[in-house]
Amino acid sequence: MLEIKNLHVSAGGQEILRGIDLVVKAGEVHAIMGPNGSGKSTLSYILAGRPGYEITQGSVLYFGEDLTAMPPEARAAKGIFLGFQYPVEIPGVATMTFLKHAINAQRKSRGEDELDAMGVMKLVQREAGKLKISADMLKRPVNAGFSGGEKKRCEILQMAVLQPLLAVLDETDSGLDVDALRLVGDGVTGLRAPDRAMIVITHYQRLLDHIVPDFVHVLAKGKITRSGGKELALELDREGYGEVVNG
Amino acid sequence: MVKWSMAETATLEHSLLSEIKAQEAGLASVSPRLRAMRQNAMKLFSETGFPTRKDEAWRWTDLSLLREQPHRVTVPAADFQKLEGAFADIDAWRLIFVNGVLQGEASDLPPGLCAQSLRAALQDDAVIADRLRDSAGAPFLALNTALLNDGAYICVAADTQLSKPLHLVFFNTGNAQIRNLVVLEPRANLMLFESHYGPTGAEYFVNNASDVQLGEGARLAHYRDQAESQNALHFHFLNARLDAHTVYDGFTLTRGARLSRSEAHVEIAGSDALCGLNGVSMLNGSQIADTTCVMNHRAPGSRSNQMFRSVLDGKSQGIFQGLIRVAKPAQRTDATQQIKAMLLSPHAVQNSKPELEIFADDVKCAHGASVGQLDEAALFYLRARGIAEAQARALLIGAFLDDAVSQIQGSDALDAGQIQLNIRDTINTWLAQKLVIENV
Repeated sequence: MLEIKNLHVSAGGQEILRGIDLVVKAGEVHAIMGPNGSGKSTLSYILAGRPGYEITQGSVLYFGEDLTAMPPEARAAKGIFLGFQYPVEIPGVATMTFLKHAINAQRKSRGEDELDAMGVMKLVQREAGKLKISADMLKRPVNAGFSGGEKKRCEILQMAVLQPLLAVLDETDSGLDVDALRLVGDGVTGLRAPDRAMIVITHYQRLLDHIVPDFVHVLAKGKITRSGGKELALELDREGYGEVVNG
Repeated sequence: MVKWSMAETATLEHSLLSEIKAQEAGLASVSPRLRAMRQNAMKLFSETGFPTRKDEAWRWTDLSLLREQPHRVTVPAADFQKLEGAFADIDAWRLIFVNGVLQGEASDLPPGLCAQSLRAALQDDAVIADRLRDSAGAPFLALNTALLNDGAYICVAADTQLSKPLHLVFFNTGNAQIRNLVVLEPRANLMLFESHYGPTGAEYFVNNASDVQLGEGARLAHYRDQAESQNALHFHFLNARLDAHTVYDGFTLTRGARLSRSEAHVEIAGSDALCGLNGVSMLNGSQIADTTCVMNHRAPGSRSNQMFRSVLDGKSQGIFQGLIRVAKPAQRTDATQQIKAMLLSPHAVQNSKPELEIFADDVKCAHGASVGQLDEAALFYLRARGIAEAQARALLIGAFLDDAVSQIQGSDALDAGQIQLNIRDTINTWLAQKLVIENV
């Protein structure tokens, strides 16, 4: 599904990623862990297509296509979803309106019929219930005045209604208390599917108690320094990044 | 089809001064009151001409175009074409003006509502002239009074509640000095729409002035759509006087004209009045639009609210000048003014000057002006969810402008939701056109 080869990325003249290799297949969950400033968020932005980054070397193929040539909206329509570390507040645009635009923009770009207001409402409400998102929240502007936990739950709601093939979740656990973490973890786990892959970016092992990964990679100073199974996350949690990064 | 008059080389100012001279003699036939007023206005404008940028009130709006460049006028093709703009589909009583001249009388007006040609009303009742504002210190108002073509005279009798709105349609193809007088007697209630537009590409100069007087407890909802031809010059001078317990709910959508100025002077003369002066401007190309507001609080316990949002593309220029003046007797005044402009191009310019002059001690005044750009983080967020860039931009700009659109209060004659919907549709059409052009 996703094949990253020798990826080098710079932003503002500074090299952030220095040769990443990563292969993700359908149905797999990959966790990417690492200290602050290691390039985790940059990797997520490169996959989603955020402007402002320069790819100086290497390639990113998604189902064999060059991902880097596509605008963000084309990537979304082809099934790439980024769960933002800091979901952006959009005053004046109601959450439900935003979801309707997003769902239908993606459907249209795939040549599918658009859903009417009722169809969108049904789809959204079904998933919102599971994440304990109230009808009132859906009427409010996107993320505006939402608590940290509400924002992250809303990200998972978007993922649930948009049904991506490759979900990149950037520190979805940050700012969550234990209950919210369980809600989000269960939400994400419920979305695991044989045709869907996930890249879960996190600092801590605790999210991985809820979303059990198939592979764990350590990203440090712009490179993947170690890869392993889920036990690697436990090791990192016990011993810290110091050993792994330097070793 | 637009036809141009032959070899017109005089400047606008020059041709207006000649017109004033030519009309002076004809004043003998009008009533002494009106004659004195117009003679005075002729003298005022002839002495000063159009203001220059040395005049503080005009420091950002350059009128050299009117003073120095040859002025072309489309041959007045005096045929009304069709209803257009944000209010075209609203069920209303309508008065249609072509170059300021009323086309036929309004039919089926209900009792309590008088809506007719101002010129005719002045002939019937000379006293009406006393209700027109004196034009000292206001060159465009002086010009309007000096050459006064026609316009609407609207009067709503005391305690009259109208079941539907009144719509003034100003279709322009040539120069016009349009004057409206709107009088609401105590506790009268009116919703008034104004549409200003002309044929695509037509060049003309329209100078509007409206005198609005609200008697105690009266309520006026006043919504304007300025969609003049992209080559037109549009000026509008609103002079409103609010007595006690009145409500004035004003909204202006500015999107037309090459150069425009919408100037409002509100005098809150009675206590516990409520005044909203809100608007949206959407500019592109080399359009220049000036919004100038003077809110005079002279009586206690009143509230005023000004919320303006503008988007500027291309090399357009926006100007906002807003003064809130609170006189000593106007204790417990609550006045706000919030101006935000969004620049969509590096060549667009916004100049804002919010001002407060407060002489009372127990007041609440808040004002703020900001100029910004589209939020790139928000744009990426929407695009990452699959919303195409053009649509994402339109969504964000629409939401930004909606702060002002949502101020519209509506009334029993028509609810706010319907009016806001009409205005949003117009905004969305503008945004869609703009984005189509960008993608070519």
